[in-house]
Amino acid sequence: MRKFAKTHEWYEELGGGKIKIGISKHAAHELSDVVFVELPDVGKKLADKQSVCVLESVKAVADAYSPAGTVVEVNAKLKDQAPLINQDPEGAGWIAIVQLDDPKALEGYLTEEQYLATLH
Amino acid sequence: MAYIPITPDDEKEMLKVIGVQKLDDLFADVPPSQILKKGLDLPHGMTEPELKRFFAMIGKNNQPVSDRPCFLGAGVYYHEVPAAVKAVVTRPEFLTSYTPYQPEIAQGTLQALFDFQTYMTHLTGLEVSNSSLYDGASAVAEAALLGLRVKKAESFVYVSRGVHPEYRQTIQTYLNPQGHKVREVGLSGTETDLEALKADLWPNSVVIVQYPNFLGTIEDLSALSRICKEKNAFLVVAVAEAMDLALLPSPGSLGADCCAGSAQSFGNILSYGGPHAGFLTARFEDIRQMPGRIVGETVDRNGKPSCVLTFQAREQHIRRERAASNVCTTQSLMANFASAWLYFKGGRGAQEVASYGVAAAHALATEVGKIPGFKVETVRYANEFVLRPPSSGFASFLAEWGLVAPYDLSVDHPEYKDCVLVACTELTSLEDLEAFLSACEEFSSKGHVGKVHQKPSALPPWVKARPVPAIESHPEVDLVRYYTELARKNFCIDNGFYPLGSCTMKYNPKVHEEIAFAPAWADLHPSQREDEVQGALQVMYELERWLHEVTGCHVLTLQPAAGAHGELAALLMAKRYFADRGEHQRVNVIVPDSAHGTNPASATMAGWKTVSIPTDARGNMDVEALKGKLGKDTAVLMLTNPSTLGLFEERILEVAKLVHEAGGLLYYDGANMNAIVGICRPADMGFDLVHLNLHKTFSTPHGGGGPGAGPVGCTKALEPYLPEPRVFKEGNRYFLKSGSPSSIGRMKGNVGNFGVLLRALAYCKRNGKEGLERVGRVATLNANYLLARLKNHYPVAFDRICKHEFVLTAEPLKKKYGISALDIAKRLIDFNVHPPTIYFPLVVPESMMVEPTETETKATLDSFVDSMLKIRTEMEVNPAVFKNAPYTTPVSRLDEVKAVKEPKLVKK
Repeated sequence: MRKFAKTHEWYEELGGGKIKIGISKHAAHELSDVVFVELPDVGKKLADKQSVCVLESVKAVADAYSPAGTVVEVNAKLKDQAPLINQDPEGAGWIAIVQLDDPKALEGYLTEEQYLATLH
Repeated sequence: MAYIPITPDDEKEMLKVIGVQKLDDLFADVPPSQILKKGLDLPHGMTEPELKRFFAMIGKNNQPVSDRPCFLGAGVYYHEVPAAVKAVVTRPEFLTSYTPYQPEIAQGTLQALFDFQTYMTHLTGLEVSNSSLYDGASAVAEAALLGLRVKKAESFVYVSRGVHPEYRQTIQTYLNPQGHKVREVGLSGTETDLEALKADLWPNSVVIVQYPNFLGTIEDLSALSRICKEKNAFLVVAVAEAMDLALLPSPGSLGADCCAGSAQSFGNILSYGGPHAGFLTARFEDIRQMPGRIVGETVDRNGKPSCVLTFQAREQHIRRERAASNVCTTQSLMANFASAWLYFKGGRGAQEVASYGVAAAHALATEVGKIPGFKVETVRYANEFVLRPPSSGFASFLAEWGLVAPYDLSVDHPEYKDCVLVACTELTSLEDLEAFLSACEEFSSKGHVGKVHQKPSALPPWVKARPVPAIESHPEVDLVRYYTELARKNFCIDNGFYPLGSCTMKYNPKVHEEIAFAPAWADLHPSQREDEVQGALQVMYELERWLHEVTGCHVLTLQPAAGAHGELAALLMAKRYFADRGEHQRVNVIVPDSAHGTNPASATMAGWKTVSIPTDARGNMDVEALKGKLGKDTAVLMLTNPSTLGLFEERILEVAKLVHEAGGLLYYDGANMNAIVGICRPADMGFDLVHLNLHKTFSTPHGGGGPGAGPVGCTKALEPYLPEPRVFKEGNRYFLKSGSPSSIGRMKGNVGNFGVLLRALAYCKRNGKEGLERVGRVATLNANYLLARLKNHYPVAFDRICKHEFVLTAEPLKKKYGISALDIAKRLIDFNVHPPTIYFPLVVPESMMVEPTETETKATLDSFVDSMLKIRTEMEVNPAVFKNAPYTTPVSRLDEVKAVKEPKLVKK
């Protein structure tokens, strides 16, 4: 089940308090060509709504935010294939897996429907 | 008025269109107490002949090095600047154009900088280069910070005492605020003590040496590189005499991770120490940590090869507080001079020039070594060495003998007290060598003087020439044609209207160029004795007085080389001020969300955090929100006034009071000073620190992205913290002084961008009281006139009387017609107008910021309106025309994505 943030991230529950993080199709489109992804180090501790990753396009820089937790895995493919974020932001372009400090953290976020409603 | 062509009739008509009675009505939102009742207390303006006479007369108090034997080096080298190089690079297309953010109309500048980058990689043996930095000292400081970012760990920075003293001071200034520690590595004789470094070196640190070093020694980079690799340390090689890079094995080939320093030797006149091009080269893998602008090659829509600024996502205008460096304007024109010199002379020419300098030094050293009492102290010298005379007083003796007094080493190297630093270049003639040697003979009063009988050509045995750098040379006629062709591709102020918001692209007077290139100003070496440069010191002193009157500040520093540089200086002063008071908890810099990207980037470099305040519906900073953020942790509030929206901060007096009550300091970003010159003054409003951009308000040419100058004024309480040295006057004598224990130190080498300061003073004196008092008024009149005529056709961000600039928003147009601010900008180019600033300030979506300045005629303003109206109509009847605009430029829209995805940062 996926939840979304107003800041355009999606969070997928993987079980055991782990979530997979990526950015929405909308965000990927707004950012346009992502040329570089500044992935976090595995083991990095994140505060609530702290930036987990910096996405760089030609003319802009954007953060992807995460609820509080620890980074346990990153999508290494993004090192050489940053465009994956644009090609498949909600699939192969996932960014990181975070072990949440609070397994219930996603309760405060939006469903896909609610998120899509915020965009117009 | 010299450069203000609006007539009284124009003014009458324009006020009618705007809908106000008189000009003063445009300043109704300025608190009445702030309006200068008597204007500025300054002398009347001079005519052009009077101006030239003034500078000719005080120029007589300078003794340029061009008419005597000159052996001064010490970081700035007296080399030939060929007439052809000067002629092509001072073309208005390079001189008066802005940073190449619109690449379709800036291929000239972009290509010249791309060439510069390419040449610097060949010379330094590293993979990528930026397009210049402020100078050698600050470039090496940035390199230190780059190394620290790459190493990530809590690393030390080891700096050899062989690095230029001014570079070392600047490194300290840059490293202090972020808490990094500098460890000095001593010398063994004149070279870096490798054993000491090896013993002391921590893993993952940064090591900085100079090559050749300040005392002239060619450091053993291979050995240094091995020591660094053992401890995984990052090796930065600093370079002051870049000409030697054409002869000596390159730092990159010997293991340097980064090379930075001064490119002044290539085509930059001495100009009393500035402006000079700084450079920085590194490995491609570290490119995202590099400061400054980077030019890359790509193609346009028709597949035509072209250049564009690339990897911009590193920079302050995008990354803001997360930018690696706050650098914005750098030294593009000076890099352009270097580029032209190298295009002309090529790698072979550069190697020949370097060889001659080294051979001349070797010949001199050999002969002088035969004179009893004299000793050459430097081991493995290139074109510069330390000479120990038999007794003290030698430097003065040489001056009396008619030579330019050489550099006195006693200040920074007491072990070489009484010694002099002697440099030779291709301009050192046989007569010069003879003069030096006979002076030595006379001083020693023993032994015979040797003679150098023929043109020196023998290199010392420790110098093995590197392969000739792969830079092609060109005959003079081809240099001129290449650059003439490049110039044609640039759009500059001399071509047409340039309403770039926040940049103040006013007309750059030609008489300034005439004055600045006269030998009395151009041929002054920064290390000359003060009695030889009284004219230059007077220029600085007088400029400070003019700026004091214009800003209301108690005193100013003229040292910073750009606006962002001045911002950093001001924040460092504030930080030191709070540290002295034990107020270490003050860690926040507050900025409005409309602030220029350099503001938060400078805060980060100062080791502080940025807090952002929203803009209210009236376009002012939200004072209620500000109240919520002010507190004991507030260090500085950085404000631009009028704001970047071109609107006067109406509650400024209240804001000043609030900030001071919270114990913070108020900083004025002078980017928009042009609106208020002669009307009101930042210091009067309560600003403690005031910065100015001389390349905006004071008409000095932008040069395609620098040189600039960013003086900083302050209150009496902050005076002790000013960068040093400063200029003082006693009786009729001007002098430089350092020694305030609280000074933040040096921001860069030498006194600042003297050439820029000189032009700014000329501008002040030409305008005088009456001229300067008209600047803000007419700039504001022109902007409001355009606003009044455009607002019924283009959506306005804030419908209120503006100051010298205003912001339109294309967002409704984007929604209705699919036309963005970018599309409008590109189409405007076809109407022979440089587009306004787009996508800044960030608080207005699809923003277009228009700043006409006061130097345009009403006819030009009307023509601009006509163009804008035509474009507006096109949106309705022919929207397709926007997509591929511009059509009339040498290249069409460029593929900027390709430039980043397939980086081509040097010519292959």
